[in-house]
Amino acid sequence: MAGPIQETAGEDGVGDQVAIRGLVARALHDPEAFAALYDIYVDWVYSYSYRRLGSKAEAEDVTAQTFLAALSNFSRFSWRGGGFGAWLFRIARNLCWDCLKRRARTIPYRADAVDAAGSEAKLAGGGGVDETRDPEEALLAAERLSSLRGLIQELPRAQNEVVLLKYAAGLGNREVAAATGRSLTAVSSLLNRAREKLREGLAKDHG
Amino acid sequence: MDEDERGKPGRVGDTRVGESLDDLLAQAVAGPAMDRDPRSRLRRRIMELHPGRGMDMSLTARAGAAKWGRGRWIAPAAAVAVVAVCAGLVLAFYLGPASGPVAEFGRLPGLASGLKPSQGAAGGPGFTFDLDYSLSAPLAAAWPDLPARETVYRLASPGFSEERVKTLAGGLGIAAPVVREGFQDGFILAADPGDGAPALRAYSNGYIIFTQAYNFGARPRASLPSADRAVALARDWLVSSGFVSAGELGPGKVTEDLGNGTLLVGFKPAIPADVVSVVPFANAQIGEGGRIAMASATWLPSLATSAYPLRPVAEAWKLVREGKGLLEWATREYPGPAGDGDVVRGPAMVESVRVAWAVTYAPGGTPYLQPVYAFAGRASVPGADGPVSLPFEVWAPAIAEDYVTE
Repeated sequence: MAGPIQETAGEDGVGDQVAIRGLVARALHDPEAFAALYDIYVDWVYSYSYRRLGSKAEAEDVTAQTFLAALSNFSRFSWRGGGFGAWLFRIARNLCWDCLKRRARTIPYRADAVDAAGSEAKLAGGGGVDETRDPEEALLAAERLSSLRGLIQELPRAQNEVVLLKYAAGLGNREVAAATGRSLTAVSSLLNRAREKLREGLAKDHG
Repeated sequence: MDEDERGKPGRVGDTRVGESLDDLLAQAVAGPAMDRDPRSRLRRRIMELHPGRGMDMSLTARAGAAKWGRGRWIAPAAAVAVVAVCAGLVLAFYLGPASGPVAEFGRLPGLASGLKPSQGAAGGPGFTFDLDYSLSAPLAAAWPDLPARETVYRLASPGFSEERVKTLAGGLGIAAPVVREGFQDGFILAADPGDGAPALRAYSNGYIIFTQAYNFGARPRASLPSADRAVALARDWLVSSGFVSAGELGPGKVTEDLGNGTLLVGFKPAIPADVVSVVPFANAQIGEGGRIAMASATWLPSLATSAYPLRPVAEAWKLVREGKGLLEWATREYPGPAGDGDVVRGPAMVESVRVAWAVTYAPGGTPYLQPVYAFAGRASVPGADGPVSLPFEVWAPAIAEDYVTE
């Protein structure tokens, strides 16, 4: 998956920022520009949705609905709302909530073992064993990631959400704030509390 | 970790004892990529539903609909809607002022209004070209995949008010009053103390130039900033001076001018990325110690965009073959014809074609950046010591004929 887009970053992200702004400027009239935005963000939206919903089929549906909603509402997009990424993930987030409400239960990390195991292992080290590493070390690493996923699942809902937006969707804190309607301070605080809990949990499980 | 640094996606095998919690988190929550088939289907569907897709969309939409599973009803419905929208646009275009997202600016001015090749097909400095164009084998076999429509940019009209020049001069620390001088059929607004101190001249055609005293003597390369540093200095100066706005400049191109002890850093717009006309441009000449010896620009920011249909590339190629393209030598070293009279003849093989952008001006002066087909290759022409091979580009209109006033 390509790296996250630095829409709101400083010097290092100037090129990407310009590129995204240029694509957004053209995307209303130009299908190719909109498709380019799709290419940049689709895996991030899918990845985020998958982690929220734990189901490949539902993540595909949410991803499709997110981009179709973005297309039909594109003329209403404004940079004042925190950037294109934040806007897109606000849509994805709401759709995920709708999906979870329909299910009436939250299973963010069910991780659909059958249909996801292959790509999951390839991308995230999620239970896949790295053949280039010492087998024992690889196993320990996989166990640690597995524990961490469990701990994230147990986080309070608000903390869970900001962690996923930051790490699964690749958003910066400002974009997380814009996507969730929270203040930057609140997002930072939620992330700090989540990190603290996860650190403690990992220390307990793995020393 | 920086407060606003993004979560980084993990990769298999990245986990190491002692790595940061942020790295672990990124790996733990990195989800799988979407499978290729649904990903491609969704992309196709989005392209089909996009309102800028235009007149030829109905067929594509129908083809796509057969392949799309759960949303099968949407594509035909969208096709009908888009056909209706497009019919409306076509009617609007021919019956009244153009409106809507396609061809919003009406008929565009022809290329010759803005492109001024250094040595054009219609005549260079004392000679003309009569080249026999042909296509390289790969191009003769098949044209590359080029877009069916592209974006046209309506730019800000060139020109300066006295107030604006005062503001720019003030920002550069130039205390001299702004004086209006006649120049050709326009004017210059000059803020120039006249003693070698920083000075600013803004022309009614949109050109602006800043100068200050600098010893233009020859210097070794090592005495000048690195290329990266020169680009950064030039970019910062052009933005902070108000010549251009932040984010508008594309990558800088550095040309060494060691005879004058400077580096010339040139910029074209960031969007669109490939502008072949001279305008818009912004330059800065960087001297020893990073001093800005001179800076100039004709920078016309984009105000609005609209999608326009392109003519088939084969149609543009026909114009080139007929000698109706605008020729630009990629080198300025050709001394002139050594053949019969003032006409340069020779074979010219086109090796690539792409869509680029060039400025054109409507009769009222409104500038546009519109797409052109840029055919590039090498020509073999007579030189003093026999044939010489030179790179060339020839530009032909890309906007569909019905949308251009030639």
